[in-house]
Amino acid sequence: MDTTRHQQTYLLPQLIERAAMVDPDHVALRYRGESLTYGLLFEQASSLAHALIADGVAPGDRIGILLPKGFESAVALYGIMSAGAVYVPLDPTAPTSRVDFVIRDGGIKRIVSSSAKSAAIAELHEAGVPLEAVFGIEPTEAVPYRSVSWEEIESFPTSPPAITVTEQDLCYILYTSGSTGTPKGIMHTHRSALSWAEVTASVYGLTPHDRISNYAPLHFDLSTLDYFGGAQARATTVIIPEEYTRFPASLAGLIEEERMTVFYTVPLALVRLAAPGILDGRDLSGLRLVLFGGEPMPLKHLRTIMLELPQARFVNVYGPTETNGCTHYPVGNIPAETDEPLPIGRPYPNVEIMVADESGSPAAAGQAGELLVRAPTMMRGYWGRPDLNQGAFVLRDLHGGTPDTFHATGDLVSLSTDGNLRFLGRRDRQIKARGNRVELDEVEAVLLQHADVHEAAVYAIEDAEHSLQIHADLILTDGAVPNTTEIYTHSRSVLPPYAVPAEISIRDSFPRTSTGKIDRRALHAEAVGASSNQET
Amino acid sequence: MEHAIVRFVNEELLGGNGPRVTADDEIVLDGTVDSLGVTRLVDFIETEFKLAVPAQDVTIDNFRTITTMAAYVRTRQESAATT
Repeated sequence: MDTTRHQQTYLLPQLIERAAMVDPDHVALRYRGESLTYGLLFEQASSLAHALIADGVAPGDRIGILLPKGFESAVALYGIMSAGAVYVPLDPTAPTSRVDFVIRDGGIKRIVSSSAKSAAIAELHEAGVPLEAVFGIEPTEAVPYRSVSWEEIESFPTSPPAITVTEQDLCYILYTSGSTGTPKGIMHTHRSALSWAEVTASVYGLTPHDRISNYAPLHFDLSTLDYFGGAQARATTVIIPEEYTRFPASLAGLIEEERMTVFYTVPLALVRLAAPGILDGRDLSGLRLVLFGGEPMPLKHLRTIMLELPQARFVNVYGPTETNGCTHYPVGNIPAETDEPLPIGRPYPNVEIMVADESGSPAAAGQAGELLVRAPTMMRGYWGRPDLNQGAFVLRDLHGGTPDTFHATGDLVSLSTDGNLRFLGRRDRQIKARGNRVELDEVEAVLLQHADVHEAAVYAIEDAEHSLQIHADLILTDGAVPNTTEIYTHSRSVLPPYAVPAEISIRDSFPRTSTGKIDRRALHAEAVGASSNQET
Repeated sequence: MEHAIVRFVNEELLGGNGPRVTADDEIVLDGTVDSLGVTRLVDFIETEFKLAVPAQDVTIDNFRTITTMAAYVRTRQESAATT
């Protein structure tokens, strides 16, 4: 027995294989009241892997996933990994031009989808996107690509293909906002993904009895805890249908009906659940753990929801997509009436952090510096972007010994004397808009692509729900007709919905710094002043 | 009533752009109306039909389509009339 164990690689696909061996009837996933067992998930993923290989997929190939939330998402990601390929989630709400960019940039030749997306696939074809095949869709005239139906996929063997994959191989690529105007792909390996699954399962004591929420779609890195942490623990992951994220009263009902025990989300969702009346009459006593991250949680609302859910442990989690989770801060008592933000806490096991001052040396306690991270959960780099990789990784001597690679997060933090890190802001112009990561420079670059736009200044304003809203001030080219509708339309055709400016204003001039640069701080201050005047 | 909500969604919420919705389109499920849009819809219904919509009532079942929204408003108006 020992020899077989040594021969077999143990990576992410083996998480569901093991779960299927131990208890095939245990529920892996729940969606809209239905269950998919580990046994079936494993068989369906194995069949998809064989179907992909039969179609010519080789290890390392990138395969896109263009799917609404549902069981197919989980089958797709494990099936792709099981074939030795790399999954790349395509944001189903992003405009065609952005999906087009990711497919071409990632060299994606095949995607896994479903008939729900046939209109989007037809648009890709119209845009000339070079795909060889679409899996999971009936061949129809509407979808001009060669297609392989789910029925056909299910006719393939249900045991996994023999494929050599090592922990160094790529597992997935997540595309995120890039400051130059096009998205960049964050590459994770089997090692980094599996490490994250192991850390979350052990730190949060996940067990087969847990029912973990899946709030975030696949292209959002929160989903990796839900799927991989869940599979590591052989727990059940409850996929939250997208419309529930817009209806907190219904979401509260779903948490109760599905008896969720672990809820992992962005602060905005908790702010909404904390609104008056939403949790009245709900029995959420099964919820033992609430994890939130992605942007700062407003304490006023955290206090409210902690009072509503006294049995649950609340944890502020932190980590850019580049590193998965790095640090966490379990909230002890209900925070006092203060506006001081929650710390982002201490590193997870097997994670080393360093706060580097401007010269690159360790900053003193309490001093601001850039957070550097060394961890097995760290990305391989940005796909096809050696220019970005150069800045993303830095070498630092360890304890006077050999140097090792850290990821330079771009996040400004300080280390308190009590050992907790505090998040202070960004070195660059990256923001979180309703939990979504946006480079303001990308939004400016996209606005400047429009012929009518001469200069653009984009900045973020806090909205009523304590998240950030994107504002754009523009100076038009000479002779252009002031018409913001067309510029909104252009933005929507290039940017994902969350990155489209909420407000576009046309101006004659900008405030300038002494060197003639646009003074975005002055614009921001002006806009904040204007909105607070309106309120009074 | 349906007509007023349809007009609000098409003219105000969607700014007269893009495909026009009808009373039976699942506008929240298909992503036509986002979460901010839901908030604005609730504000509109409260003002237009002189009704306070409690947060617990802002559910998928009540807001699935404009037809279900109108049905919700009628139920509320009837219960207000009988009490």
